[in-house]
Amino acid sequence: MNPPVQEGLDSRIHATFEWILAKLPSRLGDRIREATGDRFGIASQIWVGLGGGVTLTLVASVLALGLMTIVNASQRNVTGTYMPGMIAAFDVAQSSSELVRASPRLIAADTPEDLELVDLDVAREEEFLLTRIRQMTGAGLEGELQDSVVRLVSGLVESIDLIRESAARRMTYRAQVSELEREVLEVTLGTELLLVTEIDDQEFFMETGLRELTDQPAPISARNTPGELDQYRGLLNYQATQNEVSVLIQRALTQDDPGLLQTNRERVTAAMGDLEAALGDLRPVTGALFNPSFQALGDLYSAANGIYTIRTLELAELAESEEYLALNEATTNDLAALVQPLVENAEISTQEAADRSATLLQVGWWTILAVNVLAVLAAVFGGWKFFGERLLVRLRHLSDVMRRMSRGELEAKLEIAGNDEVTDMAGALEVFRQHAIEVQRLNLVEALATEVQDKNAELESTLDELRRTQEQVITQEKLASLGALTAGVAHEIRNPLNFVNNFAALSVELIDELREELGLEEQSSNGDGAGPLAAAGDDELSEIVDEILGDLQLNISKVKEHGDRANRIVDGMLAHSRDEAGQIESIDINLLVEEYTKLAYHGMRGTDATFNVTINRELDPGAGRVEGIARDLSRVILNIVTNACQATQMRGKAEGRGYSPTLLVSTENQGDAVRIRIRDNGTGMPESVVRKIFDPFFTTKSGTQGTGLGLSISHEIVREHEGQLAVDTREGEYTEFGIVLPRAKAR
Amino acid sequence: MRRGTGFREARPGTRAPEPRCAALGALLAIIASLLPNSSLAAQSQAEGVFPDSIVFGQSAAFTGPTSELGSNMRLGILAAFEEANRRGGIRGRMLRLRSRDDGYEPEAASDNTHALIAEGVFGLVGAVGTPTSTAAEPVATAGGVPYIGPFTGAEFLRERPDFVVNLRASYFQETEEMVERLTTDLGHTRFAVLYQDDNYGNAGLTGVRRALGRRDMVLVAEGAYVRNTTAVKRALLDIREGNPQAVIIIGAYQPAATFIRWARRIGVNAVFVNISFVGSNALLNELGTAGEGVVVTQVVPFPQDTSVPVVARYHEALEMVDADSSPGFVSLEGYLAGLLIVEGLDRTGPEPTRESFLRTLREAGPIDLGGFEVEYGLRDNQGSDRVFLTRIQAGRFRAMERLSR
Repeated sequence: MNPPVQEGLDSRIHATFEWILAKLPSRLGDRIREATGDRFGIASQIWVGLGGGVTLTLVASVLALGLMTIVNASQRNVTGTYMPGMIAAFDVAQSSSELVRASPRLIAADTPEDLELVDLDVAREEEFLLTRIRQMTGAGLEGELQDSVVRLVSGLVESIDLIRESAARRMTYRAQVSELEREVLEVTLGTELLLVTEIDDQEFFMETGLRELTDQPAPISARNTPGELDQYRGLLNYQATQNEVSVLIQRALTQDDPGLLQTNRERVTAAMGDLEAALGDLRPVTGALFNPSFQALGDLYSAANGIYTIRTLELAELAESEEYLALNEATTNDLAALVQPLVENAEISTQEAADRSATLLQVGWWTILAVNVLAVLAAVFGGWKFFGERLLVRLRHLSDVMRRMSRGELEAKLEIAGNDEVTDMAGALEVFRQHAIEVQRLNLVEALATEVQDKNAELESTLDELRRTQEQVITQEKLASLGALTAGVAHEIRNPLNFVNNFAALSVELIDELREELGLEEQSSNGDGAGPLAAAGDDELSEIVDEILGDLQLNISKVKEHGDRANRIVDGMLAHSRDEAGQIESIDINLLVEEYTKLAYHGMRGTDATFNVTINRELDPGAGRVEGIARDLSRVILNIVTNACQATQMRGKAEGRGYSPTLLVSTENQGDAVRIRIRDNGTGMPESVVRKIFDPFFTTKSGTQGTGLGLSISHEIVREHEGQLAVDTREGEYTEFGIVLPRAKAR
Repeated sequence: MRRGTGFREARPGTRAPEPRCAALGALLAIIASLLPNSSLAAQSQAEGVFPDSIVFGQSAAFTGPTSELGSNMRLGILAAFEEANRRGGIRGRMLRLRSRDDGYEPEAASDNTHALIAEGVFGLVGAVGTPTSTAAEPVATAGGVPYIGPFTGAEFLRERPDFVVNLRASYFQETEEMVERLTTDLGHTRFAVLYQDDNYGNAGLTGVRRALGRRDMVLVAEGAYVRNTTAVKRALLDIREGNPQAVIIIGAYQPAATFIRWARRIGVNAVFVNISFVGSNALLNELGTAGEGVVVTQVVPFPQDTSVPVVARYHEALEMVDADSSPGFVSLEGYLAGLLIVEGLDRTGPEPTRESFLRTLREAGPIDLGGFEVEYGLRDNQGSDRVFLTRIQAGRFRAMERLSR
């Protein structure tokens, strides 16, 4: 089975194993020999294979690790020396520029809400920058450079804080300005409405001479005066000048150039001068009307907290902030300049380090590749040689043989070379095979023996069946011959009985005739009797003869009566033995029960002269008639009563004198049916017997006394009459059969 | 990832790109948009609807020459609201009104409307005036807030059907009725107009011109005055020049009264016809005896005519709110506006929203407020088209069907 090459290989492997053991120090060799059971088993083979693989992997890993360490060290050299400082410095520069870039928004913010948001942003950037500075001081930057950076950044943060404060101040100014703006609008609008009304009134007056509704119109000389015209012009002038002032003040509110604001102030001052002049031109009453608003306007613009002052302060703040911004821009540039050489240095060093790393990595890569290729080749070769050729081929052979054995092919013999577990399994399998062949044989013999036993048992039971059938046939045969005998006997008896009967009847007539002849007829003896005896006058003799004749007549009539009865019995016997189906007729139940009870009783007396039983009759006079087959029903009564008598007889024999056997026979009209009860105080029946009494051929009587058919047939007959036959009994006390018969068979 | 960890990425003045952050942000945004909007779900009730109340806002003049109008609108609305609240509110929710003074100035009206919407009112009601509504209505419409029963007949409010619910007839309808009555009943042909020099006055002026144009007539004179002043005399002189038979005044009650007094003083013998916005009771008070014969067109029934069921009801409601006040046109208009809100909310479901309220009004068909019927439609946001005529006689207003000499 095994390819020769495998055997060769196997032995070579084992030889190598032995060789290795021999080369080892003797104690170690012994140990291994002990552990392996002095052979090179599968476990040992797998351990050796795995060990080889692990060794190769370890070697490769150690090589790779070594190379990586070298690369890492070189890389760390770069990062450790140049990177942190550079990154930190660069971070600081970047954060600074972010901060500087965010700060102009402080100036641009227009509302307190805007400013708050921007201020938060700036504060955050500032915080970030300070964090960066702290990081930088821990990053090993050279001292001088670090000091420069820290100095620059401190300046930056300081000036940004100043800008923030300035912006906050500016915001309060803006709030004041917008309040002032509202007031200016209110004042100018109020004045304007007042002016419109005044101008309207003045114009109306000049046209109509009316100022108040109740006035009388002024004459034209009073209303078209130069004074009135001046007043009208003055009002218009005041209106125009106030508009001019209002526009100028509006402009001051939005002027962001300090120089132009200064100019604006000059122009407002001039316009206010004009307005004052216009006010002066108005009539004092009217002037007083506008003076408050004029004063208010002037104050709103030029008072200590007026529009001009506040706007100037605001612009000053703005200028200051812008100065700081410019300063910050410069600082940021300085910082960038400081960081720039650092970055360049770092780039050069990094390039060098990267080149070195690349070379090392390449070497390491090739080395690892080579080791891996070797490991893979070794694994493939080992797997092919060891698992493929050595283990798998042999195992496959083994399993092939096992499969065939499981199919029942036990002929093939198995042999596998080698000195390992596979060989052991092959050996064990061979033993199993031998055993299996043996077991196969034994099984065959056992199966045959069982078969023979089964056949025997079957035959025996058939034989039993046969015997029982035979006995039944014999019994039936006996009964049949008894029937035929009875018929014959009855027929034979009938003829003599006829003679007896006929002659008895004749004898009665003869006695009557004799009496006549002897003159012993009553009428003649009493009156004019002329018989020979009477004539003889022998009264004494005739009295004796008469008496004897009377007795004789009585005896003969008894003979006749009993002869008739015998005749009926014979008729009954004949009817019984006739095997034809009976005729359905109307039956007097009481008569039937009475007669066949009596017959059964006499039948018993016939077999046993000592037999006696007290028969109590409780016959319902209204029991009436049923439709049925008299022959069959009489048989039922006969059977049951006979059984009852036998039961009392048996109990009587068992108990002796103290026992008085009693039989109760009763009928009962139940309307549509008639019930017949036959109760004896005999032995009764156990439960086990009661269950079987209606089975054919079941009997408790010994030998030839019973056929076991009586109750079975009775049951059948009652059923055919669509009646019911029931039994009630207690062992040692009584048995009672109840027959219920319908009046008419439902046809 | 504020900066790249690799040295190659680091350059002064540049910021490392943040693609990963951006992608992550976008992803988070998508996830957030997929999640059920918890803040919306939590806010089960509509704006302005609270468990125990529904709040409305009003921006109107409570100071200045038109303050009578604002106060009386408020009084009328309160009368209707309190009446509803007395019988248990709207399904247990009490109606509340928050009023702010705009002094009949458009800027203030706009500011007030912003503020009221920010406070979360269900709707705005009873605004007074055309220039103020011109400023306030766009704010309300932008906020999706119903703008109900403004005390103005300006045409532009009839052309903004999305959120504006007008109760009264338009100024055009009023001026048309004026011209119709003056030409038909009195046979007048010479008409002059005094108007307030803003878009209210211009609306009225345009209305009169159109009505005259339909009859092939032109104005014989016109004069304007500056809002919030009584400087009407220049205009009076101009109008006198035209020698009109009738002067139609599109103005506020103070300048109108001033104008009429002075006109009578300088012998202008014309019928003075005022538009409803003038504020009839205030005008009557201002004019005193000089008011005899002054005509005012009205957009609500005569406030003393208690034979109209809603007027009788208004009398009762007003009495309950302010026993000292007397019935007037403006407070009746306010009451009708309030009643319209009550009616609309009653017909809206148990949880009213602004949208469902407006939809209910649009789809309700004719709503009978008790002898004063209003009806809205998909593009029709003006409830009533009726114009009523009144004249001051013996120091009191009288309702009339026709004008007579």
